[in-house]
Amino acid sequence: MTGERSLPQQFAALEPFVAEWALPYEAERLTKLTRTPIEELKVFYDEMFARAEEIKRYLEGFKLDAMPADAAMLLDLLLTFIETAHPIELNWTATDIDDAFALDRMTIGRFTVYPPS
Amino acid sequence: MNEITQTRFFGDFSRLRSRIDMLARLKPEFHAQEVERIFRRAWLPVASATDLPRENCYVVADVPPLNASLVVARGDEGKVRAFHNVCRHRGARLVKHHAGCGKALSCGFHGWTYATDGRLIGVTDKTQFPDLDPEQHGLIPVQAEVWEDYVFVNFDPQPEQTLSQWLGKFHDQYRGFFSNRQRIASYRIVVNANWNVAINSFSEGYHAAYVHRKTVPDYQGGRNNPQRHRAYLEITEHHGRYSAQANPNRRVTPVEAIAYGGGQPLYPSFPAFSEATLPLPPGVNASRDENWGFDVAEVFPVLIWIIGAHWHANLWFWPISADKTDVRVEFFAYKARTVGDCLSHAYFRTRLREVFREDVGTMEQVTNALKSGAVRDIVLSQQELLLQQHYAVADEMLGRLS
Repeated sequence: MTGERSLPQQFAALEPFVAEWALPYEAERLTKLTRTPIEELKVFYDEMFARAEEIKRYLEGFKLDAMPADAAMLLDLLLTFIETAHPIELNWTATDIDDAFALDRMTIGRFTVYPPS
Repeated sequence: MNEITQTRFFGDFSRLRSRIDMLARLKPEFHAQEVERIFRRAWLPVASATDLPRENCYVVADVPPLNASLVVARGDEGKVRAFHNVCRHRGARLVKHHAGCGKALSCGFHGWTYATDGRLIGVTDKTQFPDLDPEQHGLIPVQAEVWEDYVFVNFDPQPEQTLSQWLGKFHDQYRGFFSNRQRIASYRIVVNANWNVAINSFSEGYHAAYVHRKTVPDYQGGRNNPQRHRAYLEITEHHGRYSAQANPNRRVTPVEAIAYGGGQPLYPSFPAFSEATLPLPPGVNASRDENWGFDVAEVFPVLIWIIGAHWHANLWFWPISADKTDVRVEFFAYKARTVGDCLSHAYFRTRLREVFREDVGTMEQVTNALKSGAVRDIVLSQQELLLQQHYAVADEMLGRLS
């Protein structure tokens, strides 16, 4: 990843989040979420929230099945943001809930954003 | 809109009881009866027709209470059949992976091959089986019928009721609802809980204000329904369903607004209902409540539906033993066409997933507490009538009700 650009130019400021947060599947996003302290999640949330509508408008210019690699990376980043926002927005004190069923006993299916053919 | 919501009840409640003996149900001998008298006789939904998109596609469906594995296949001519996933030669598991498409199913043990309609079409080194009649050695069929997106099977060679009779009024009331959907999430958990306790966690809304206070604090309730009474609750011969109301004063969080700003709003956002804007079959939001949130239905014995305007969830509770249950969950939503739709799906599945994880979190605690024997029976409210119905149907099949 040395100096290589993976996001569209106008979103280059979000590049530092890509390696950790631009994740392709729900299971990876959830694992990342629950292993991240809430203070750290808040940093990601704040940076992404500030650009989220702009990212959405940018991505809506592409078809789901014909997205360039940098836009697809940006979509993964946005989807991780959407899927990990709940602890911040629901005022949890940690990134997982005490009483919920243990994640390591749960098998999570993998689904891409593309609709089945 | 100023009156407090009172539940409208429909159905014959004469066989329901508000006290249920639970201690007995946790014993292995009792569970053995459930297996024989319920699971070997009921119509069981085991697969999604979605997974059989074309001719010659097949999917494996394991049925833990009966120690059975089925292969559900769409034949050359389009007909869906179910067979024991067992080779007729030496009894090996025939299909080992989950699903696929292909004209033949081959056994990995000695290479016997079957057509997707179950016929034995290939025996390797056949001359060494001088007496073998291939016509007598097709896959062992199990009765199967497709209803909407579900493949139901019945292990009873002569079921007492047809699938249509078994489903009762549900049969004609969900037409088309489960079609044109995309599976967007699936979860599987083996939980150390009794299957009755497990399925009971999902068929009442009384717990929601407490168990889900952190994940969906205000999706139900509000000034006109502070106790979150079901707006509508109905039982049929075997099944039951209710409608839950939305809280019109719910706070939409900032990311929820972003996520649902492009696609359809999904749980826990509930679009106001009107016949013109939201066509639904008669079984969904059956009372046509303008303030509709979602429905829950129990398709006895194993399936729970949670149903919203553009989505549904299937939750299966398959007993493995008296205190172990295989919980399988799938979320479906309308098909994504745009980035906005993908954001809707992502928000929805993760919000509902956390609610689901909280529900599963109660099952082992309840099972363990009941197993202690401290409490022999449980007490159920009017808002928990679907649980009363679950046990009435079970006990009738078990011969415990006269």
